[in-house]
Amino acid sequence: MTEIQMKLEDGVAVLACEGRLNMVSAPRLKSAIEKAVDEGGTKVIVDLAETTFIDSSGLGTLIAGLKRARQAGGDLRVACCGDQAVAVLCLTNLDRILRPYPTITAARSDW
Amino acid sequence: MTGETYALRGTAHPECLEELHELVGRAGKEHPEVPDLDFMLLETAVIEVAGNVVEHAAATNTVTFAFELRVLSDALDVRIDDDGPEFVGDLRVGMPGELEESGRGLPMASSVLDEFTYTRDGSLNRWCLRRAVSV
Repeated sequence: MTEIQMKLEDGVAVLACEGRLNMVSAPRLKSAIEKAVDEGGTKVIVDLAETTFIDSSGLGTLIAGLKRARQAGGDLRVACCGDQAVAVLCLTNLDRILRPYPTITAARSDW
Repeated sequence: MTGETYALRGTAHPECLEELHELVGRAGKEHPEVPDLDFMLLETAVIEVAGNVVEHAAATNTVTFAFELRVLSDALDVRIDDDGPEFVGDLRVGMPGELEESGRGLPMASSVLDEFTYTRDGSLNRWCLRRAVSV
């Protein structure tokens, strides 16, 4: 079971996603991102430190979240990616628009 | 020990993907001689193909599948058979545009496999995935 926890501070929403981000759990992350943006967290950081696997549904949700955040004047970044997450971001060329940040602090640094 | 087979049969529904994750993960743990990278990328491909089966099963009646992974000395070999509707896509389709939200599954699987084939055999879909073990 994938757990998603949100922390909203100074307009930055950090969403920690624990477990596998796949076709079962991706809709929950999508809802969580929408909720964060609706509550003013238009700068979204998805913390993937405890995410053990991402499939194409999960990537699609990150793109949907990126578009949602940008529509609201913000952006979405990914941080603390594991090896599999980095691999799928690179394989799909999404690392160009979802550049993996090494830490949450780094992801927040130039916002 | 190479040549070992890991198999799973069941009904194609989203929860079966968790069982496939566990099975491939167990195979990886039991075969430390195979680089982690190979199992990680094979698992990525397996879940995309199985996810495709599950997705298409959702629109029809019950679909059953048979999964088999063979750990060979030089490759990881997977066969997935399912009795769902015929696949009509193209395994060699390219990656979609950056802001598209879907369409990455099979291109991603294709990019990490050395062999990737699909055949329709009577009422069965037969998917063959092979990743050569890194040296």
